Amino acid sequence: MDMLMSEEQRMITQAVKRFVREEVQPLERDLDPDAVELPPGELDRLKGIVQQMGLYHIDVPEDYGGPGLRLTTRGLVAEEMSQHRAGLYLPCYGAFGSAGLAQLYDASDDQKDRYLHPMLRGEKRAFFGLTEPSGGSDPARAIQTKAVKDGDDWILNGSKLFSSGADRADFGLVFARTDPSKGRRGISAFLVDTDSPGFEVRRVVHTLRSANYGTELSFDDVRVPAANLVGEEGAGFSLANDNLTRQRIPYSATCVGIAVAAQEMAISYSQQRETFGAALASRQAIQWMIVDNEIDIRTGRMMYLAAAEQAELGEPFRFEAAMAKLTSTEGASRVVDRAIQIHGGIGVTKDLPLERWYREMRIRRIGEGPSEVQRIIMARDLLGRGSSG
Amino acid sequence: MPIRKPWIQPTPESIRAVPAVVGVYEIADAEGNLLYIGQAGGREPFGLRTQIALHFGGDDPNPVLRERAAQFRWEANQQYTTRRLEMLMQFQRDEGVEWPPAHPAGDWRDTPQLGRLRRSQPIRPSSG
Repeated sequence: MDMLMSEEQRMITQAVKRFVREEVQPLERDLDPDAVELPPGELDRLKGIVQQMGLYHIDVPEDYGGPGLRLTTRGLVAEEMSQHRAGLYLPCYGAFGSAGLAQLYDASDDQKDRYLHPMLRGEKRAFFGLTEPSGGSDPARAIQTKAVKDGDDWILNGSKLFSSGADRADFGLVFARTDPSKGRRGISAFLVDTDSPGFEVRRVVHTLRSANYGTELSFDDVRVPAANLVGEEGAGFSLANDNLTRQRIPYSATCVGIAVAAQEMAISYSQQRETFGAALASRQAIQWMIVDNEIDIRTGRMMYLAAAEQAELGEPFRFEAAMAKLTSTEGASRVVDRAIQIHGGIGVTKDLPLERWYREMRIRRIGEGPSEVQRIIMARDLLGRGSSG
Repeated sequence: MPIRKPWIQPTPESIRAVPAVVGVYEIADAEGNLLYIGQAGGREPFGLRTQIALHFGGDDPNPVLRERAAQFRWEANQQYTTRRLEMLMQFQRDEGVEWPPAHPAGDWRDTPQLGRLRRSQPIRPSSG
């Protein structure tokens, strides 16, 4: 793998690897196994180190103060950032900064002034409201939240499910149906302030993951000014979809990173642990598991890098991103499962990070489009039923 | 929702009866006023039993609990982290104050970063 990296990529990934191993992993030794935050002061200290590395605001475009990483480099960094206990859903506990809502880079100047820039300065927090109780895999049809024009305003009614961070947010990007007769072209995106009358965070939705819990939201006659419509009326679906496709690349790389960490543990343990007078690593059954792990890891990595390169070239990459998401999430799930099997009983305890990765990785085969939807995306392209961009 | 169980008086027998599993718990004063919402995580040697016993041993480092803790109730829950956050958020929503009385007297783990249910409702800072 190393030989495919540029010198710059090698330097950056090595720096991030050292950061995770020397600064993040030691903190977790004293934290609860399901911890979702660091002791006071530690996050600021880590952010300071990341800023010195020149990687703060890692997902922010260069024009807005980000480091301007290529997408392939972003993937390689994501793979390193996730290699700790909380790393799947909370890479480095947020020390690399948050991109917030990528869709806002396409917003109007007025919306950028009111929402994007405060978000990038850390003054406002945001949430993404797409999935609903009626479904998330097919938002074009599942979205039932309605927005009806009323003078200069829109009135929103409906609900959202699994919206992470909405309970801490100052505003959200909420997708609602503005024209029921137009299918996916009848969905629009709105910036909704969370102190708007009628907006309610109804409950925490507990799932297998420890970090970034979801919430259920309700909108009861929430009045949104017309100036908060993002993009054109009816263009909400493409706004959501284009960014979701791009996000599948670091999403996939994060899974590969967890698989790498699990594989390192499996190899180390199999060489130390003896059964019936010989190291586990000498058993063919274990060797095959470790080899299968490596195949899954390298497959996932090749797929996300291929998707990233395609995107960097300005070529359609929806097919490649779907394949990366599919192979990395399913492959990494298998790797963590095998690593637990190699560890035996200790593998399922909270003494090791494997059990948290096992739980949280299960969600990855569903979140951001389940495996079956990724296959649908690929099948449509292979069978010529849709464009591949 | 809060834990839906009756309060338990702390005795050697009642504490021994607490299961050695991960989960969440509440502590109240003698009048049933909630003082503290805690969790027993994966590092507690005997889970809820260890954690609850610490509060009733007479030497709790939290002065509010040391002086006022009089009863407890618990809930076994594998998702103890998010469950505890949810319970604290529900307390804020229902009581309109920032923390149960013993939390500001604890260490950093007792005042985690919280979101808000029903954001439009103002939350008053705790008096301590």
